[in-house]
Amino acid sequence: MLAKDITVIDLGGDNWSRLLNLPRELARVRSGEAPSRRVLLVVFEGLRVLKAIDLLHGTEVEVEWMGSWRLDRVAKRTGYDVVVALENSALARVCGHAQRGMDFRADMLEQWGGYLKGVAQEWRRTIFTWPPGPSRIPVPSAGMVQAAVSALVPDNTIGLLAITERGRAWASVVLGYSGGDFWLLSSLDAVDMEEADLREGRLELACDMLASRFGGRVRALAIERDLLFKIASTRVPAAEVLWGLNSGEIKTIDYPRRWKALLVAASLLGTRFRKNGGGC
Amino acid sequence: MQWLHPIVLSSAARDKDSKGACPAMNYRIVDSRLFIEGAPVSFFSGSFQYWRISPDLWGPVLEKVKGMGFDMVETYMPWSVHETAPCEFDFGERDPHKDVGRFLRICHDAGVKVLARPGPHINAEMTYFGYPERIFADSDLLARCADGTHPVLPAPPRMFPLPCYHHPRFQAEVKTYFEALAGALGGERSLYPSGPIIAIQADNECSKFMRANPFDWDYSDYAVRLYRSWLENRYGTIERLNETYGTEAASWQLLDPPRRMSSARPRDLPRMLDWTEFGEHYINESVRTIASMLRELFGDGVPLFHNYPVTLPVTPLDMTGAEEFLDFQGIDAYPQKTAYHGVRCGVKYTSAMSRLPVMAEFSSGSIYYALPLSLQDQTFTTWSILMHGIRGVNFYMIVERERWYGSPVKRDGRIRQPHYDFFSRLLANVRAWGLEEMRCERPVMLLLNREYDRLANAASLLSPISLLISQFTGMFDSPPDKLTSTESFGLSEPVASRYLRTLAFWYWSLTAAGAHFAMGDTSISDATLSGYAMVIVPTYEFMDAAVQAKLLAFAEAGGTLVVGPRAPSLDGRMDPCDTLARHMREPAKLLGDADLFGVHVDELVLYADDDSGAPTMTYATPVGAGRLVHVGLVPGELCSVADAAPFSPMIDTLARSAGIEPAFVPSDEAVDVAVWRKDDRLLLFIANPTDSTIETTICHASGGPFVDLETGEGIAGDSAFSLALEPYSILAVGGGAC
Repeated sequence: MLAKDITVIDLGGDNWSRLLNLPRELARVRSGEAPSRRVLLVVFEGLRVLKAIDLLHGTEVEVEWMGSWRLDRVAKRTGYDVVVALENSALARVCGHAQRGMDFRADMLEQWGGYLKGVAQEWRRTIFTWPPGPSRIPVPSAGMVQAAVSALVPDNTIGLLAITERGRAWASVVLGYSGGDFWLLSSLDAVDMEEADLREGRLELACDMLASRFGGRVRALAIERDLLFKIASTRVPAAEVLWGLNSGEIKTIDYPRRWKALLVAASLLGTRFRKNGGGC
Repeated sequence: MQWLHPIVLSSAARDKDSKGACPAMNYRIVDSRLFIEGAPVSFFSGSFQYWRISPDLWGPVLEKVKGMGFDMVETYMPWSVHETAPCEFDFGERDPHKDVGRFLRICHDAGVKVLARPGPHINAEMTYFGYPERIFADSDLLARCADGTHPVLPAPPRMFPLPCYHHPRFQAEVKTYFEALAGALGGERSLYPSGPIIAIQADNECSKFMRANPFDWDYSDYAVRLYRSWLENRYGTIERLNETYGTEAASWQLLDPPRRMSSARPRDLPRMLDWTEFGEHYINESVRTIASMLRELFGDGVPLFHNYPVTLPVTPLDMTGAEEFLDFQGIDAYPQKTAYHGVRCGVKYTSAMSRLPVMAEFSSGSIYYALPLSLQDQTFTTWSILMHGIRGVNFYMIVERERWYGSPVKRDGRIRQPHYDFFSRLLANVRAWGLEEMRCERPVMLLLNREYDRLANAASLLSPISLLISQFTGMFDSPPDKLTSTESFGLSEPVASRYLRTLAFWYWSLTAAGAHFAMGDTSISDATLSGYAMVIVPTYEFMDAAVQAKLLAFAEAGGTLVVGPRAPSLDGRMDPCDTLARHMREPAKLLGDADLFGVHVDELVLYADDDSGAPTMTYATPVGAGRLVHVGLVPGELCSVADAAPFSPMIDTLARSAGIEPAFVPSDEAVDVAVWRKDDRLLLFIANPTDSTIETTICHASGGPFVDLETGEGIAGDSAFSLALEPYSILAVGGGAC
């Protein structure tokens, strides 16, 4: 799914910086003023605690240990929202599981799957959490994920996501998908339109230029930055998405229906029935 | 007492006329500067990866780089790019992008010198980090973890298993590539002055790929053989080893390395610490092997160097050991402005421990998936490394390329004006202010104790996490012992954890007091040590006998040696040793969980005062022409300059008693000042590493009048001047004849 020699080219400067900072900004908007969850890491060996530390500050915390099956009491007595308890061999064991079956030629998705399988094998053996999470970690096969992506992304696609500010490109990403692999990561800088005005037919022009530069069929979505932040902060993001699609604040070019359906479905899943969290 | 870094000469170049080749480059490193043909080299370079840029643009892009003031570029020469099949190479015969010879000619014609980095490991965000894929298909060549699996580096877009550099066939493969490369470059003819290359890097970021926990890897056959021969060298006879370890091994061949940290008594520790120290030998021997190949192919008329992927190169990195076969070493950093202290302590360390302390890679733009660096990050961090003693920088990448963004020069030669202007101004100012000729004044040395570093690395709570990786973002910004076990391992206290806290205590206390200090470690040479007026080193229950003797000799020669909290009673092999302890007193009283100046400390050790007999935490003992000062303080968690501010008067008293008068101490402890001097010229760097504006006053005894070097405006004040420092800013102030 990820090409071995993926081309990562012409990402721009400020444009790409803004894109990488965006998830953090959106998360901040979405969580509002809600305090972040406090996480306690407990490293233990058999029946004794080697050390418990506040994961954010790295400071040591005194805990009364009653075994990895009583993390609820550790959480209650220390006041931490989340407790992660690792036996001191846990990470080495996870690495061992992953390395045992690792093929350096395999797709990175499959390689990461090896680590996930390692975690699944160690789950509730050397890795414990509170809240306790699922009784086992499901690990989808790389083949299943690949099939799902192939069903969703038409072959030979160049996807453009442009985030605009009053019509001008503010951040952008271009992804190329062909033959079952993502083979390209780029931005509008590739066609010298890093901060170009994308109104009045210039988004179409950018698509044409991307097609002539990289080949393939360009499918684009441009969204105003303000709207994106509104979607992140509202309790009913689907309404904002539908409004954006109708008003032109979200503009699409050659955008497959399944992607539109996915967009609306994802925004529906983002509905929050309570302020700050508590999604459906 | 000389405060400055002592003069060190590199190996002199030999005349190569006897081989019929061109005359060799005549180079030397004097007082942390590289001289070629007697002329100093302005060591500012930018990375330009020729194979990723259209060959038609090499010349024009190089001109843009020169336009900023650079007359040096750096490039990798990747094995996996040039090898087309086993033993078959393309150096431009088929693909003009790979014509490295032409690239070097263009540089030479343009008067641009080149730092060559042929690998074999290069990273460069390339798939498989520059190793040919076929290397990984041969499982014999791969390293092994303690559980027998091959260690894997989880780097995108493909994870790959790590090779064992000590496998003879791996070495032969590398040599084949190097021979082909040297042939394509013309060997010594590619070296300055007949070619543009002025230095070659022997491998890259050799650090066990940051998987540096001793019990992670390498347990492969060739690594274990190397371990056994290293032990044989160290102990001489198996009987002597058995005596130290408390074991009954029949022969060297039966010795297996430990696979987990396990020690119930002091006698068990040498085996653990030896294996941890062997990790340093493993890395240095890897680099030495590569360096030997390069010397064979390019002669010894070129400086060889190496770089480390962390700012503070603690164990298993060993700069002192590596400078036995390298000319100089550097570190790599891609910091954001908030990482000021992480970078600062790494630069303080490297500038004292390397002959020519360079940033072999320093951010210019970012890797495609890394958090971006703003121009403010770039400006602040670049000046901060120069402020604290880095003498040369290679900006990585000065020319943008695939899998990188935000450089001042794009792949097609277009420029990013604000970044381009920054670098132009930076180089112009460095040269106009004469920074390269000046020396940083640092009368105090804070030493890391390598033995305790090793113990801390072995005592990591979560293998494969190592001490190296746990300080990746800064050693002291959070408790340095956060992932270190608090077990005693048979000693009388948790030395590893307490040592790291003691180190943090000294770092923050010296900083809060405005002391001008360098950092190093206990492998430092006697000559370098003698350049400092006061040396501080944490001491606990055990300490290598030779290190104790070296420190005592420093004091006997007139220095002030600050030790504590404990008097070491054992040497590194856990045999009794009182070299330092015989000059130290027995504690009169121990106070656990005490409050000192309003700060919690784990333990206060009190001694009877000489005159009054009253309990005191600190006393001094005359030793030869100098003094030994014992500070009986087992600190708690200190993570910031504010935490340590109450200790400033104590540091001030210690420094004055060592004959060090406070100089340019800011009124606000968060403000940091570095003092540079040459003859009657004075240059101050004044940094505000916080996110708030700070108004501060800086007292001075002399050196004025002062001038803001950036604006040229005078700074008023006879014995003190006041400044308002913007967040994350560094002000350069000239004094005297500057």
